[in-house]
Amino acid sequence: MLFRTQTQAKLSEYPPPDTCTYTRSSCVHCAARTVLSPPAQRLTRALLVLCWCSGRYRFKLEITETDAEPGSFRSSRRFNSSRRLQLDHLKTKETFILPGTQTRYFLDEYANEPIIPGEDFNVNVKWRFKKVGGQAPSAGWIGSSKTVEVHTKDLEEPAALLESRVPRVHIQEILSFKTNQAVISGGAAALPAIAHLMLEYVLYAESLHASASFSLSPLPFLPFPFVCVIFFLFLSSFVQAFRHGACG
Amino acid sequence: MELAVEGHVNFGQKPASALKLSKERAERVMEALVQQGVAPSRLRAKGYGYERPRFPRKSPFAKKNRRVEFRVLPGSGLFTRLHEEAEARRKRINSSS
Repeated sequence: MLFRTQTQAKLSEYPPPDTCTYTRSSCVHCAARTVLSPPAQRLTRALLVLCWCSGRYRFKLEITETDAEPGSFRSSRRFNSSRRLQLDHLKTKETFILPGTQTRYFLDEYANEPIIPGEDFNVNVKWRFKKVGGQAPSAGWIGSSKTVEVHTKDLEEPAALLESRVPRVHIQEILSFKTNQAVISGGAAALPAIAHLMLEYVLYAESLHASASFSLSPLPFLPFPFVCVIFFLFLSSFVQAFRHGACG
Repeated sequence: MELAVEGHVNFGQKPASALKLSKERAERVMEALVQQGVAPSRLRAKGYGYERPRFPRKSPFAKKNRRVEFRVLPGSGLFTRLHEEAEARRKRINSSS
């Protein structure tokens, strides 16, 4: 098997946020390293870097090297392929098909929900090559990295605002209830923390309301003759009142 | 920031009663937050029954489906800011090869 490749990544527990500088096989800041262990006689190899630099509860996947496909032309070597990132989470899987030219993938959601603290993932990357001139190997996902186990950082505070496309408040201990009752049985300690978050972000509530203009409103929607009639009636009534007042 | 208080129940009930119970749970949590000083106009209680379980029915963690979650409602300035930041972050990383 020419395409068997093993990749293993290890993650630091508390990485610094935001900044990330990659070397060819590892991230300098968060020390995400890849361990490449193919036998020397293997012709192909791939590196998978998992990086936490983008945040505590999201991570960045980067494939720094991929296999060269034997049996195909060199012009097709540059990622004329599609790549699949496969995640295992609670016995469910989610697959992302990405274009072959893309070497990075940003992962902060799972099943349209933001990744939460304390979650476990298995990340596996597979890839395939475009068949060129009938000389490529058999179809299917012929290249695969080793499965990497990922554990997101546990929440330290009782409640925190998770920043994602679907922002929400995550609480450290689940707010549980008694069976068939609406009585809180656990996790009530998070309620003051949630209230504190709400009070902290109270200013953002003002942007919910639409803006109001207090300037004089123009009358472009009233036709000009209609305005003239109103003005004439007003003027005539004023003159009538003046006459009656003057005579009486 | 406005918050949706979403109530959920575990499996094993009739759908109507599940919806009612989950709504009551959400309202109970909402009352507790109001007692902590949060304005009621910033909270929306809603019950989902067991439409959105976090754990499968036969999972050992199925009891944890009996829960309440909190989601920032769309329309607030905070939601817009976080949503746009997350989109920009994803585009920046996913578009660079």
